[in-house]
This record gives sequence, C-alpha cells and structure tokens, in this order.
Amino acid sequence: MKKVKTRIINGINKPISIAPLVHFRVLFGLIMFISVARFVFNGWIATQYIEPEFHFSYYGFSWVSNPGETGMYLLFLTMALSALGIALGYYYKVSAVLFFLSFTYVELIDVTNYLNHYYFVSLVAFLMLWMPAHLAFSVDSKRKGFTISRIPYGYVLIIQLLLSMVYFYAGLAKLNPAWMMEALPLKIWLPMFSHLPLVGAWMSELWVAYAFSWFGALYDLSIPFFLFYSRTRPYAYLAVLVFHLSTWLLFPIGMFPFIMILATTIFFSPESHLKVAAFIRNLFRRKSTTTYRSSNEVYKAPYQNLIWSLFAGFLVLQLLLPLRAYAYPGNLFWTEQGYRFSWRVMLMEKAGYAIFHIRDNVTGREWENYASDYLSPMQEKQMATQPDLILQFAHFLKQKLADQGFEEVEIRAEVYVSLNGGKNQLLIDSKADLTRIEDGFAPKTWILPYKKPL
Amino acid sequence: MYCKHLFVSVLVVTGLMGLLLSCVEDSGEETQQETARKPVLENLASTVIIPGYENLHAQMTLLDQSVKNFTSDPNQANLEALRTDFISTYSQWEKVSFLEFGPAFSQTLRAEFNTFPTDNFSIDNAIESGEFSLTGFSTTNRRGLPAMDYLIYGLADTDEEIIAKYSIDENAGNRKEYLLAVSQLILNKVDLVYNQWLPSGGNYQEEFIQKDGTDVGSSFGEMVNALSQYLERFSRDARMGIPLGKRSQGVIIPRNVEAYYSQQSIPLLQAHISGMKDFYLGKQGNTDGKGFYELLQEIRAGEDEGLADRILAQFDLILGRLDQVPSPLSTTIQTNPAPAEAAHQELQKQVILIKTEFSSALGVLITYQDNDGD
Repeated sequence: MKKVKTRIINGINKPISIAPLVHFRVLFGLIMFISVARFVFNGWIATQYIEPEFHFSYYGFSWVSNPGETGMYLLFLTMALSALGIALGYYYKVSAVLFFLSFTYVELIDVTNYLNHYYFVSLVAFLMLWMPAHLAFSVDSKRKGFTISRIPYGYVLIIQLLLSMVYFYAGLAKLNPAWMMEALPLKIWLPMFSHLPLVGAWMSELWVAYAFSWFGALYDLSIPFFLFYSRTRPYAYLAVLVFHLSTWLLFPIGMFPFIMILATTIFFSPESHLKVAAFIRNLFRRKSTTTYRSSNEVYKAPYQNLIWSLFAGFLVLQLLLPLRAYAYPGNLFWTEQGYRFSWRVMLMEKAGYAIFHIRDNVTGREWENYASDYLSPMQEKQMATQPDLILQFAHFLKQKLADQGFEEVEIRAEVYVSLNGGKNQLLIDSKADLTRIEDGFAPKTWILPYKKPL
Repeated sequence: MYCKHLFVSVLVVTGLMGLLLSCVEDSGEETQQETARKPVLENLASTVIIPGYENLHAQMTLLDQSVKNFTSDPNQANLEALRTDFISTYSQWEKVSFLEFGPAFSQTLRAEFNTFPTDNFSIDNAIESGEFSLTGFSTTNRRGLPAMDYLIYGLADTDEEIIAKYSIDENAGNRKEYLLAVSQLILNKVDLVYNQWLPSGGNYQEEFIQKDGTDVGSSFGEMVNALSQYLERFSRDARMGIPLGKRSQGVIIPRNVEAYYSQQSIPLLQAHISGMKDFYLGKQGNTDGKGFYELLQEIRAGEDEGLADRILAQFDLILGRLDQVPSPLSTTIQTNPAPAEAAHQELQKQVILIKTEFSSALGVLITYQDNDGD
C-alpha cells in the first residue's frame, strides 16, 4: 500500500518538460478567444442575454443576475482579453483568474444555455489558475526572465485525467438500451442528412445508425486508454480528428470538436511537443533563439502539496458528480434529475410543449399561459422538457401575476413530452399546484413515471 | 518516429476531411441524390402553394372589381355581389394564411391581409376626417380583410343603411375611397407574393426546392417553424382561445373573433383547418401528391407510432368539433361556450402533436445556437 502511494507521489512529481503545458495554454487561450469572438459576432449576447426577460438560474445560484447590456458586453470583453492574456502569457495569473470568473459567471446566468463543453471550459479554466503555464514561451517569461523549463508531471496529468473522464463518462452514458439496441436518437437524426450528396444515401440506412451508435460508444470508452499508451497514440489521435470533425459536420455542436481536438494534444509526449516546437521554429527560421531553455531546474509551487490535494479533491468530485444520477429513481432521460455536469451529450431527442393553467382563487376564473409570451424559442424548448425549469417558470409566472394584482393563484402545468420520437406523454402531474412546490435535491415526486411505448 | 506518424496521420485526415467537405458543399445537379424531402418540396410548391396563391390572386381580382362596381354604383345587387366575392376571397385566404415563409413572410402578408380585431373607431375617424394614411405597419389593424368586413357588414344594422353610407351619407366619398384603398392594397400584396413564387417572376419556387435540408434556413425548417407557430398563435389563440378568454384572465372577448361583422368565423376556421390539412397531405382538389403525411411515413424508421395518421385524424377531429359549433361564434361564446371549448381542446391537441412528435420526427432546428443534442 505504501509502495503504491510512493509510486503515485513519485509519478506526480516526476519532472517533465514544460512544453506540453505551455502548448496547452496557448491553444486553450486561442480557441477561447475565437469562441468568444464567434459568440459575439453571431449576435448571441442579444438573443441569449439581453432579449429574454427571464433567466433560469442554477439551484443555489439565483444570486447570479444578468448585469444588463453594458455589463454583458463588458463581461465578454473581459473574457476575450483574458483569453488572449492566457494565450500570450501576459499577466497570466490575473488573466486566468479573470477568464475563469467571467466565463463561469456568464454560464451561471441561464441554465437553458447549459452546454457540456461550456462546463468543460469552466473546469479547465479553474485548473489553469493553478498552473505554472506561463514560465516559458510567454510575455511574462520574457519580461521577468524565467529560466524554468521543467515541471512536475502532475500538472499535465490532471488535464489528461479530466479529458479521460469526459470521454469515459460520455461513453458510459451511451451504454443504455435505447442507444445500443435501438440506435436512438441517431436513427432519427441521421436521415436529416439524406440530402447530402454521396454520403446522403447512407444516412437513411438503419445499419449506419447502429454503426455510428456502437462506434461512438466504443470510441468514447476506449480513446482515453489509447491516448495514454504511447504506441497507439498517433492512431488514437487520428481517431480523435475523424470523430470530432465528423460530429462537427453533422451536428450543430459549435466549438466543442475543436476544443477537444486541440486539448487532446496534451497526451503527446514532451519529446513530441519539443519536436513540434522545433519544427515550427524552423518554419520561421529562428534557429538562434530557443523557446525552451535546457536548464534542469524543476518548478515547485510554494505550497505544492496543497495544490496536489486540491487537484485530488477536484478529481474525486469529478468522478462522483456524474454518478449522482443513479441515486434518483426513474428513467434519467425522462426526469433529468442529475443529468447535467455528467458529460451526457447527444444522447436523446426530446421535445415538449407546456400549457400553464392558472386559477385565480379570489374570482374562481381560469385561464392559460404559454411560455412563448415570455421566453426565447431556445429557452422555451429547454424549459418544456426539464421538470426543474418548468417549476422555475411557474414560480416566475406566479410573481408576474402577483404584480398584476392576482395574489392568490394556483398554477398547474400540462406538459407533453416526446422522448426519442416516441408518443408524447405527460411529464409531470398536471394536478399539482406548482406554486406550492419548492425545488431541491430530493427526488421530485411530481414527475410522472415514463411509460415505455409498447 | 512520432513526427513521422503524426505527419502521416495528418495527411490521411486532411484527405478524408477534404473528401467529406467536398461532399457536403458540393450541390451539383449530377451528384445530387433524389431524396425523400425533395419530391415533397416540389409537390407542395406546384400543387398546393402556387395554385393557392393563384386562386387567392384570382379571387382578389374579382373582389377588387366588385368593390369598384359597388363604389361606383352602391345598390343592393352590387353589395350582395361584393359580399359573395368577399367571403370567397376570405375562404381562399384561409388556405394560404399559414404559409408564413419565403415571399409571404418578407411581405408580412398575414399582417396585411388579416389583422383582427379591426380598429373600427380609427376607421370611422379616418373616414370622417378624410385623412387616412394606410401605409406602415402600425396601420394594419385599419386595413385588410377585417377592415373590409367592417366596411361592408358592420357600418349599420340593415343593408339599406349600409348602402346609404356609400351614397347619401355626408362622408360617402371618403368611405368609398377608403374601401377602394383597402382593396387595392391587399390586391397589390398578393400580386407581389404570387409573382415572387412564379418561375416567370421571382422564382422563389426554385430556391424553395433547392433548400432541402433541415437546418434553420431550409424550407423544411421554415415550414415547420411557421406551421407550429401559426397553429399556436393564430389558429388556436387568435381564432378561438382569445375570444374564449383563455389569454385574458378568463374574461371572454366575443368581439375578437375573426370576421366578427359577417359572422363567418366558423366557416372560415373550417376552411382554414381544411387548408392546413390539404397542405399536410400535399393535396389540392383532386391532385394528391407527396406532403408531410407521406414524408412522415417514409422517414420514421422502425417503431412507427402512426404519427402521420394521428396528425391527419386530429385535423378531422378539429373539423368534426367545428361542425358542432353554432354560428355566429361571438354569440356561442357568450351563451353556450361548451362546443367552442371542445373545438379549442382539439386545436390544442394538434399544437401538442406538432410541437412535440412532429418536430422531433422531422428533426428541424429552431435556432442557429449551438446545442448539446438535448
């Protein structure tokens, strides 16, 4: 036991070249800058943060509020500049802190904008705060004349492990009857591409949907191991490229494929990284200057063990979070209790429609309310399939009605949801008065069980 | 060693991606596969949409002539002829009203044709003062078919009095001018939209058929989003839910029914739903080609939930319920709302089917935003 512990500690502290971490820093900073710029130029600040009059908050984070138009633009400016700061290694620590805070704050404003890759970015940004990633090939190192070129392997390992968990849990989530045995939802999605020339003809074929499903699951579950093992690594990286570029071509998943393609380069050995660096230097014919000094000094943080403990705690939390879903009863895809923060991507086709029935207890009058009067189409779509968001919206409606002078109302929601193209059925108890229900971590008893179609 | 591997890998991947990309972007005629969706687009354009606008254009031309006849010689016969043409035009409008994409969308045809309830007070004021500007989006509730509905049915209780408003009334001249202007404006609009679809005009038909994907800007993306929004806001709410008080804290608003003055609300809603049903089927008169119905049967691999037939059956259920709603709807809502409530229920069920299973099955996207795949 002690031997294992010593081996782990030695492994973590083993000095390696700083090159993989530095390259990761530059690539992460650049792709984040591009992502932020793309978001701004697509006009999504307006559609996602300025136009909607209501935002769905994360449980416990209702204090995160929308800072208004100017505030939003300032936040995105901070994000863009700090991403550049990270890439250039210019006031790196300050940039990393600012990027983590601004990015995470913006993500916390509205649950309906949740994307697994935004969550991944927040996690990586958090780790970057603690990284000595600016000690070489950076403005900071030029300025301050850093000479360190070696770091303990632990800093690279934690990113490799986080990436492995993303893949592995994504693969584990695919091991469900619908995905494996019925090729759902790919069976529904792929025929959409039947208009594409050449590949189009295959897209309606059932076997293609099965092949994609099984290959996807196999890929996710095995790729971490193949990336760790040096002899399979080049082929594994080839698979990474093929997999992510094809998902990018087929599905509207934004920057995620590129983030993963760049992030997984951290699996390559320090030697490979040094060779690539040398190759790029040669391209620019800068033979005289070296990016990585060949000193043997190894970086050591002032409280190195504290940082390792923090990383260990981070990993344990990451390992446990996706498992919380199993503590809830019922079909996870239906109830979505414990669905987020678990690397569950592209797993289901879900569409819903919610009718809110209002009853004024003072006059006995009854009427209806629809989310489209208050929410953006995207918010409405997300809300109509997720029970916790339906509850939040009902409470928002209650507040709205109280403002109009209806102090004593009952709000019931008749919500029909179709899962993976199946017959629509009621998602929650349409007799439950949502104004009397509070959200929490306890299982939501007002969610109706999913009836499997016969 | 690594560099070599990496180099080979990069080369292979670049090749593969290049191939895949060229497939995606290549839309040359020769390589284009005949797919399930394209024939549907072709049929909808040539059988339903263009003939629909053609009919509306023809009806509207007749109506405009009747307006001219009536205003030049206001008498009972001309009023009756005008009213007949008005109802035919309104019925034909119902059959294309929900096609809110392409030219109809860019010309805001729905707002131009059918913004109701009409603002009868502003119409009266404009006629009295003789100063009426009917351009701009803010005036849509003073023109279109609902304004005409008021002008030829709602000015007075008897036909003689209405005819008098156009002959001996002190503002008869202004009133004629107003009616003529209203008619002219919508005739121009339908003429524009119809010609933009025609191959000899704007040829939107070709663009419509070319955009055979399912993304936001594609014809299917636009049709499905338009259909589900229209069904929700205008079929269910505007024509039924709002008068029934569903959107006004339970207080009924009978005057907000469609075609309040001519009391044609129910026949028009029936024309509207059967038009939508024909569109769904890809059918026009005796010509029945490929529509959403056929597409749903083709694309749903494996477990068929019978969605195509369930949506069709729901259209019939709505029509069946509407048969049992006594006209005029504005009175029924006040005296005996149950049959109207029942029709509203069936409309609601269709909204649910379209918003959940129909959208899922066709896999259209609602925004350009990135997503996680739910």
